[in-house]
Amino acid sequence: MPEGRSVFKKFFSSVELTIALLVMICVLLIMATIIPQQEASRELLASLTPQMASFLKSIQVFDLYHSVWLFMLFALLSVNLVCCSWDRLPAAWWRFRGRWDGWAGQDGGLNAPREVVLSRINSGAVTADVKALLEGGYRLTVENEGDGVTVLRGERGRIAHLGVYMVHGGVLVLVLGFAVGAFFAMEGYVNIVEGETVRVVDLKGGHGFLELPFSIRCERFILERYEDGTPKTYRSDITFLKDGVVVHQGALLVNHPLSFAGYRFYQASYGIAPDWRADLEYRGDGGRKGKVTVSEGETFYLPEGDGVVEVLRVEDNLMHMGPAVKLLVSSPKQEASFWVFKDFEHIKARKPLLTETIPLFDPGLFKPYVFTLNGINGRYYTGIQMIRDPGVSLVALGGVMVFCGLIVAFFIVHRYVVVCIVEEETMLRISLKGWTNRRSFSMDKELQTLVQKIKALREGDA
Amino acid sequence: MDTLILRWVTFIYFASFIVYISLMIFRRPVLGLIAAYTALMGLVLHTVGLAVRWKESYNIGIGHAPLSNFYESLVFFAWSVVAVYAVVERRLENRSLGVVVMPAAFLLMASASLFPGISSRIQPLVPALQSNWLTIHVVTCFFGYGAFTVAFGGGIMYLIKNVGVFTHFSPDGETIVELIYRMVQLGFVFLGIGIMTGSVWAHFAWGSYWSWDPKETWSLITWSIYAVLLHARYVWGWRGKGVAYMAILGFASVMFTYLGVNCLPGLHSYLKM
Repeated sequence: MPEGRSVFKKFFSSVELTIALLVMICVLLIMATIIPQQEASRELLASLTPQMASFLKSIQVFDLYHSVWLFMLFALLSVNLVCCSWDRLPAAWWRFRGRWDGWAGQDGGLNAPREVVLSRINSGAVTADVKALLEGGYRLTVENEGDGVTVLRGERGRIAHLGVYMVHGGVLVLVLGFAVGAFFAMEGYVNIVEGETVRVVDLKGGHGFLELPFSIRCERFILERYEDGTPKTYRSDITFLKDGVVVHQGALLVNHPLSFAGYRFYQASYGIAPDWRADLEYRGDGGRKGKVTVSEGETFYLPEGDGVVEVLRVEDNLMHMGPAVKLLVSSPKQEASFWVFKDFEHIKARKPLLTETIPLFDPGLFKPYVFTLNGINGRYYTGIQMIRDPGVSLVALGGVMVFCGLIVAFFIVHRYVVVCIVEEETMLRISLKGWTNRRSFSMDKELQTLVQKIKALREGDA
Repeated sequence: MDTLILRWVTFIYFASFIVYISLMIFRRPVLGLIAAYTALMGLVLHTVGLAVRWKESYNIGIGHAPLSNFYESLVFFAWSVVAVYAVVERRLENRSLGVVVMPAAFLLMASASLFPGISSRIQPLVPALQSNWLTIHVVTCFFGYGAFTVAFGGGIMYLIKNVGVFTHFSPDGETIVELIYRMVQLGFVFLGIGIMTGSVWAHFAWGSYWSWDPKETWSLITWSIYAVLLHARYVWGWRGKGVAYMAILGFASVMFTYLGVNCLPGLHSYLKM
């Protein structure tokens, strides 16, 4: 280690710091999942004293994921990673690029040699066979040191030394990409009713509006359901216009976004436009009945002054039970508020006690009238999210680097063998030594296997 | 049909566990062989059960891989534990770890069948889950969990290897620690891929590759805990107990990531299912 290494350098290139930072990040994240964050914290805030509430808010306890604390921890971790790599990479690079020289009397940390002694007959062929055997698993260099000494050096998996740096480099790129996204990403949201066009989107986080250099029109919204009413798939066919001219169009589905003008558009949600019409029917005593088509907010009268009906809400899928309408029926004598489901008969069949337990779902609550909902129709609106995140490519790159780095670091092993074949008077002495950057017993096993294979080469000869 | 098969698998895993215990008590190696083959038989049947469930979902018109609700996740988790262990046991040449790993698999399967709140019905996929990323994301995450569970078994084994009936057959401390490391490395890679594929999926489905959803956050916490374990070897020369304890702590984090987050609101909540 170089003399006079500053305290700063020592501190920031220590693995102890890495562990401490990782632990602190974990603690912060655990706190963030337990303490209600952002909108969810309203209830908790209300139960605290104003001073406590404002203090906690100022130290960002309720927005930990975007807090200065998390930012600082990741910044420190990045510095730590850079310093660690700066400190250790040169040695690893030398190991990766340097010459491996473990023979000629030096041990250099190689395993104790194993020997095979064979007859000297056909030494040329033996050498060739051993060479072929090693070539199967290693990249080989051959040196003829003269005087009947041949040295074979085999090697593989040098890249193992760099795996760790690929992982750490990848983490740095990931953190950088995430930071770029955190500072420079733009996310907006807009609802478009079928057939309508918009130019302005709401920016996420209440940052106001953004006027786009193009318009978006929802041509059509298509919804398919399963039998029980839950959505199966939904899709919006949208067109992008510039000065009234269609420049791009496509279908937007969940899991299948569209790209245009550097933004990505996502099918986020949907709903029913306020102008939905409900086809209601009602039946009372003495042949009193009627049919109306109404919208939310409208009122109509029951025959012979029996009452007035106000349509409070029209829902496309109330509690997964399908279309429903909420009515408020009043007369001088009684008042009732209740939901009328389109599939009431089916629902009642599956849940016979529904109206007893929840009178709110009883379409006959305003006696003696019973209401039926024959259908609702109207236009949907599609909820589209648009995002531009310049950090995404960095994050993707970082991810790939981390993945490849992990494979190299965990599953590739640097192995180095040195086989020395010495021609003696009547014998051929073959010595094997090996080295690995991992646990030595694996190299022992490897040498053992090689010895057995070399012995087997000459099993044919007597 | 598939739930029937899987219920049988639960019992087979329990039987295997009992035989592993007998191996410890009676010390006859043949018991180890029986226990291992019982577990293997269970694994094969388990695979069949999953395949049957997969096919059945197509028969009723809502075809998808059996990975979409709580029941299916428990069943697949158990499958990965036994699958990882089967490979490990062969390479380890020591069958004693079965006594700590098989009960985990059995308990997961038993929870799936016995808890009243868990529906084994094949349910349709909401639009957000209709993606090929579902399969790869869930599979890699659970393979990771499986490896971490075996590492956890190793951690427990390390702590009890000198206790009572376990002394005779347990592998030595160094071997166990090496096993824990290999399992943590494997789990780390799988969980890493799981997190990444989850992010890629989120990117295509919801526009954002990371939204600090409790499950996302906790999977990162788990991943970091194991990162600490992997680094601790270089720092404090942890060779024994420290590694075992961290393997156990990591598993606690895995379980919270898997189950605990359902108590917190968010995208991954199984509460609605």
